[in-house]
Amino acid sequence: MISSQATTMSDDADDQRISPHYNKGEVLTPMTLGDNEDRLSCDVIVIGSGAGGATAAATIAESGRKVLLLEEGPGYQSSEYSANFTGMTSEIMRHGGATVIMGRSPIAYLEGRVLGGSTVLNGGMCWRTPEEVLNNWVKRGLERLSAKRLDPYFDLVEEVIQARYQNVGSEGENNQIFRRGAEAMGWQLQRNKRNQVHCVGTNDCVSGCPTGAKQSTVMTWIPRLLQAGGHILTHAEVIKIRRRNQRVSGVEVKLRSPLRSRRLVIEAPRVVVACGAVQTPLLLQRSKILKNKHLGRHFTVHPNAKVAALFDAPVNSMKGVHQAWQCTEFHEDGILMAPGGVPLSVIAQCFPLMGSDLTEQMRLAPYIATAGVLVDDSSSGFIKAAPFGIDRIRYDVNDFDQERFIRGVQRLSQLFFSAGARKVYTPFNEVPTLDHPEQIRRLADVSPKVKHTEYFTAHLMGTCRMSTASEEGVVKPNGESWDLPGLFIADASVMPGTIGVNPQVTIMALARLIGESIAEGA
Amino acid sequence: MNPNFRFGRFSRRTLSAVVRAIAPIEIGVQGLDVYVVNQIESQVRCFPRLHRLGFLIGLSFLEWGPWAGGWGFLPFSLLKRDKATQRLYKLLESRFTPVSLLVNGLRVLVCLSAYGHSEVEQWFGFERRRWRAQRIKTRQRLISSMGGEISGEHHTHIPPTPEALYQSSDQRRAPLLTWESHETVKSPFTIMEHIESHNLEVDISNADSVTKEEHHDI
Ligand SMILES: Cc1cc2nc3c(=O)[nH]c(=O)nc-3n(C[C@H](O)[C@H](O)[C@H](O)COP(=O)(O)OP(=O)(O)OC[C@H]3O[C@@H](n4cnc5c(N)ncnc54)[C@H](O)[C@@H]3O)c2cc1C
Ligand code: SF4
Repeated sequence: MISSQATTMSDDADDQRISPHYNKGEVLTPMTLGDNEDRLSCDVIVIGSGAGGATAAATIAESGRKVLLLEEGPGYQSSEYSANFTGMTSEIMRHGGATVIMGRSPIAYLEGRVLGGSTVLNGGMCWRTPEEVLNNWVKRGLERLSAKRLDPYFDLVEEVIQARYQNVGSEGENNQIFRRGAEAMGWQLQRNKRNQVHCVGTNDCVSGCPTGAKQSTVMTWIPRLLQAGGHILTHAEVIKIRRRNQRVSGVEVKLRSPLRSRRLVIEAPRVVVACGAVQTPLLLQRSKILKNKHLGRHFTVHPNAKVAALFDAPVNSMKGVHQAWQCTEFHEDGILMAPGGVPLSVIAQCFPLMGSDLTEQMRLAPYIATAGVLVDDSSSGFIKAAPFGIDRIRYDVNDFDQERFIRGVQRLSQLFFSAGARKVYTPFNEVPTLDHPEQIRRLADVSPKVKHTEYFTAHLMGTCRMSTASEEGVVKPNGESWDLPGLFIADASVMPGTIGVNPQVTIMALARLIGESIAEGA
Repeated sequence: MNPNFRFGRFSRRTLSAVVRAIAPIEIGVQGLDVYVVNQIESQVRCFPRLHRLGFLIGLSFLEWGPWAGGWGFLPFSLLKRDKATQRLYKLLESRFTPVSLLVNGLRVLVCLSAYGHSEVEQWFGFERRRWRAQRIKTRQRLISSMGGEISGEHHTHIPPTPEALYQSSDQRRAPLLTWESHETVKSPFTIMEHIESHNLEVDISNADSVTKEEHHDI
């Protein structure tokens, strides 16, 4: 049990941002911990409050164990997410949103650093793991991950996070253009389920939903954790995982208080790491507690590329939800396409222009629609903690995937021209614009190089993969490390391979499974 | 992260010149460059220490690199806007990855803040903040009309009915959710009129000959 006397939230706590409605459990901040508090203990520590951590923490707490969830970032209520996009990136994203994977071409990515993790900034798309992916995992011996066994977990996750279709009127023109284009081409189109309750399409998902519609873990698993008596400590960065007698024994935490940073030691016989697919291997490597050769490897990212198109009538892409549809016609080829309305500041980045050239181009911004191509990667990268904090995060898009990118951008250009586009802006610096559908062929002729392509990603996976033998992965099928008893991992990093669709539902289902194993005494 | 980080005088001067070279200063939004530099400062504050240092070194390189390398006389902050933009274009093409990365990174940071400024958004016809405020109210009205509580943090009290609502014939709520789209309201002017009225040089001449058959040929 959390043993400190000082862990009750004082009535006059300085930081009132956490909802007082979390009345059963407690949300603590460095300010509400006693000043001299330097040691706590509990049954299970969970590190990270995103898709994996919050799900695992709630599941374990519901079994009656005393759970303490540690989150490095602050906690916010919906009304506190501001319209200042840059300001929000500094508040809720790691490194102010300026995070890049190095490789043949740098890949920009985003990671949440806030209570709720990346679920606070994600687009809310809810997809179950495709059955063929699960079948593959089963073939690798992971029988617990069969479609039959995971189906009830998907059902539960979808119910908890309220995965559902958009309300009428919340979609906006950017989505409608995409739908019309795909329909004109006769391509398979699917409405996206999103974890939302009456989303009204403000299109602010990336900087935090200001209406409370999006059902991030702050709205779903975290209230369940608190309801079950669990505790949360925010502003708490775990800097080291400790071991004693060949077992995990607890963690060292740096408390980030606006007044004074300080250290805290928390002891527990079980520690669940859920810091996301980049931070989890980094923390484990820095802690020097595992010698597993797979740690930090098999890093997959579902690389994405943006395509924009100019239309005759205003699109106003900031009006309406980010992705209400997805074109799954080329899913078997590993290509997914989806509309993605973006704010003016992101449209500006679609053009390799600056100064007055960019100003002129941006006069057309209200007429521009945007969408993305996602490729189910066949390549993989690695993550390695290095001295002086210059961690190596590396991923190279390979030629096979680049060909699929070129095909994907060709298809998306076709879709846009079918919907009436006057011009298409590609992510390839060698062929930045297409003025006519006939020019689409040029993309195959020129075959743009990886280093001349602009990518981004939001799906980071696989760096501590699950396996049936210690020589093949980092964790057992129940999420426990092969090398250190009591150490569990329950986030995107345990995914045994890439899945080709948006991952939050898969991560939550796996975290639920792992949480249950711990609750049952693993 | 270092909450106390501030740019020094020299870094600020170079960064202001970068902002002027990239941001839409000609539209005349007062104090745009200072605003953008402050926003970037708040982002750089969140960088890890060595990245912050790298960023400052990058700014110094931009300022003094041409002079030190003998391929230009004036420090960056003394260049006229057009010349500064041209220099950035040139560096963006550099074969030396850290240099092109630096300029691309600056471009992204400046665009994010400059084009996210409320008056800039308005100037370009993107009334994002107004839309956002309207929609927040719309949702509040919708939720109260259903007898639920407004804040998402109380979602368990909200009747979970969007699918039903979507198919519903209950017209009382539908008007709250519908809004203009191409299919209902035609826009007051087309892009051709827009281009003409702004005297833009955009080559979309080929676009008129697009036919659907051609799409399928590709
Ligand atoms: C912009 C964006 C859009 C996305 N859109 C979708 C979508 O539409 N659909 C979908 O399914 N998925 C989407 N995703 C992906 C999805 O949100 C993530 O895959 C998922 O949230 C990852 O879960 P996780 O538990 O692995 O990590 P996260 O959710 O990132 O949580 C990790 C948490 O750990 C904390 N942490 C890290 N290190 C420490 C430490 N040392 N000490 C304490 N705490 C720490 C972090 O602050 C963070 O809160 C999107 C992601 C992004 C960024
Ligand atoms: S579109 Fe707006 S209301 Fe809908 S989930 Fe995203 S941020 Fe929330």
